[in-house]
Amino acid sequence: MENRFLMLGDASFTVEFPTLTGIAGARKVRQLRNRIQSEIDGGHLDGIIDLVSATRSLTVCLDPSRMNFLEVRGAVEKLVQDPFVENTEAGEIWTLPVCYEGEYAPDLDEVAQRSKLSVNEVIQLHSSTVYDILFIGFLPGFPFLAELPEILRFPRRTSPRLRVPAGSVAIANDQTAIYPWESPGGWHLLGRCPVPLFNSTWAEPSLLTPGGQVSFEAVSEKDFKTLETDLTCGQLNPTSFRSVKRG
Amino acid sequence: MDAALKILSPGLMSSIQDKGRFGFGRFGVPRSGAADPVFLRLGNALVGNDPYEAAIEFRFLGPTVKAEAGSVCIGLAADAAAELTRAQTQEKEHVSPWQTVTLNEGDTLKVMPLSKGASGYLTIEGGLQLMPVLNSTSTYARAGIGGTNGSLLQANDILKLKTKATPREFEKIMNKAPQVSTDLLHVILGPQDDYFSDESVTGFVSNSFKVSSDVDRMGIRLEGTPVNSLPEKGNDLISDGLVAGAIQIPGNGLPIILGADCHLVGGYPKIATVISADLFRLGQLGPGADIKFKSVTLEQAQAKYNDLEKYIETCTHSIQNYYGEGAINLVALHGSNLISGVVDAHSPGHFPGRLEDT
Repeated sequence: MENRFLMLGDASFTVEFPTLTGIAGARKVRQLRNRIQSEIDGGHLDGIIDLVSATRSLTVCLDPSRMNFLEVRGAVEKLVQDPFVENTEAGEIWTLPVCYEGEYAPDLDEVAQRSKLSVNEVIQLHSSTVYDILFIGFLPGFPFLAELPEILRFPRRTSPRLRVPAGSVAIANDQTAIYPWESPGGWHLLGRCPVPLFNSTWAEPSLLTPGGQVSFEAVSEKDFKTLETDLTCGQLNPTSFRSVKRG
Repeated sequence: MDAALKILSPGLMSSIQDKGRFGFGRFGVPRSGAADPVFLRLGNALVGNDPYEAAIEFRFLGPTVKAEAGSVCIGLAADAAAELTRAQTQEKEHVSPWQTVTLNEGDTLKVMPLSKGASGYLTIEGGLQLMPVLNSTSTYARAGIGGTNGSLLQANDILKLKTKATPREFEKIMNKAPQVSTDLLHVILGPQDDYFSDESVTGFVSNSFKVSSDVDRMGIRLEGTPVNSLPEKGNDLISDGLVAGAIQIPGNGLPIILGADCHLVGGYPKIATVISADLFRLGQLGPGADIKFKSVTLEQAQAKYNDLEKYIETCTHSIQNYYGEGAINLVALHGSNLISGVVDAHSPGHFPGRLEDT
């Protein structure tokens, strides 16, 4: 597998699979991550303080006081050489509600025009596609989901919004995502999801886990508000949107 | 009743910070932590705490605090003086930078604006009672985690102490307070230096940049000669991992140095990354500051890390009893080299303990 090691300062480096994108890249990254994690857990690899997954790369962060950059990089270079296996993961499957209406969907009309589809066709396409959860990043609980149907792929907005509301369901290039928090952002906003994606008091603080899959279900504004209220007051558990495990 | 500190006025962007939150990259959680970890460590050394005990971090403008219950010993780890007002007498006392001050119940401490730099710390003897979130009490306000209730400090917040201040006859002062220069930052090129021509990289390490007004814990935007990427590469890559100190070059060519609260992944090419030994300097960069970058090797970066640790040790060992302003303290005078003066006589610009820049 073709790979490159990139220096990210004196205490981090990034392993990149430059020929891979999308789902295939994320799966390789996940396998490499698991290998490194089991070396750490087995006590064979010291000084790693964090691992950051991205679409086709993994960033390894070290404790600079350990001064073992070259040693760890050498160990990871060996782990990358081991053959990668075909995906055998059994991830969770989620169906998350999204309201594609009114103020929740500021870029829906523009996306419909640019893709030469009707608004309903865009909603139908975006919601029915089954997306792989590539990785969680950018913001706490923020899922990068792929792959978006070809016809809905557009580059990021040229001028990012200063304020993307929490819960916004967005698209850019071949990916879709949900903003768990209000944040600046350059993606196109198609709708709003009421389900909280991150809570530091949960055993697993991120609701979604890489390797799982997500599709969406269009809901009315009225249903959105009901769901939002029920989720906020604890009448409804976010895990109720999870269906059976993939086997 | 627990000793407690009350925030009367929060100052600017004041928050609780410790070492930061590591190991939660898989959930997308930024690391946060003190913008200037060296000041945090030295401030904790002043009050006898563990190096990374959580403290109040402020930006440019310090808070005003009151000992709400019991007495509270505070370390002033900042290039700022403060004014202590005794509750019983309403007398005011001057508090020097890098000294401790013990507030009795009702006393207030008003921290003055920073005379230089961008971040300062109030460390609290014994530490604050805080509930760690994902192993850290550092505030990350965007996701509402850390600190007292996930947000920046507000007026009327009450911070409870783990322990009461131990009665003391005298305060402490750091005779060799840290001297932080921010005009030169050492970097290791990459991860995406191949997005730039050799001329662009040369320009990046030889030109001077000015810090814009857009400075916060997430990042520092610079102004100056744009650093242009190769036309065939552009400024949009498939997002990869970020760390504090990474220098992004967006489409306008003006560098952004990432800070402690930066996102974990990003899609702009990173021409270089500030070395670990210089990360604390980022916490002291304010608008208008001039900076240059210098490229170093991994070995040089590690040597600088060791130099910094030695420097922190020197500062820590210079902490001495403080008998008040105007009191003659021969030990302290000798310690700060004002009497022997041999080093200074030969090199007027050289202060013992000052960290060399190059």
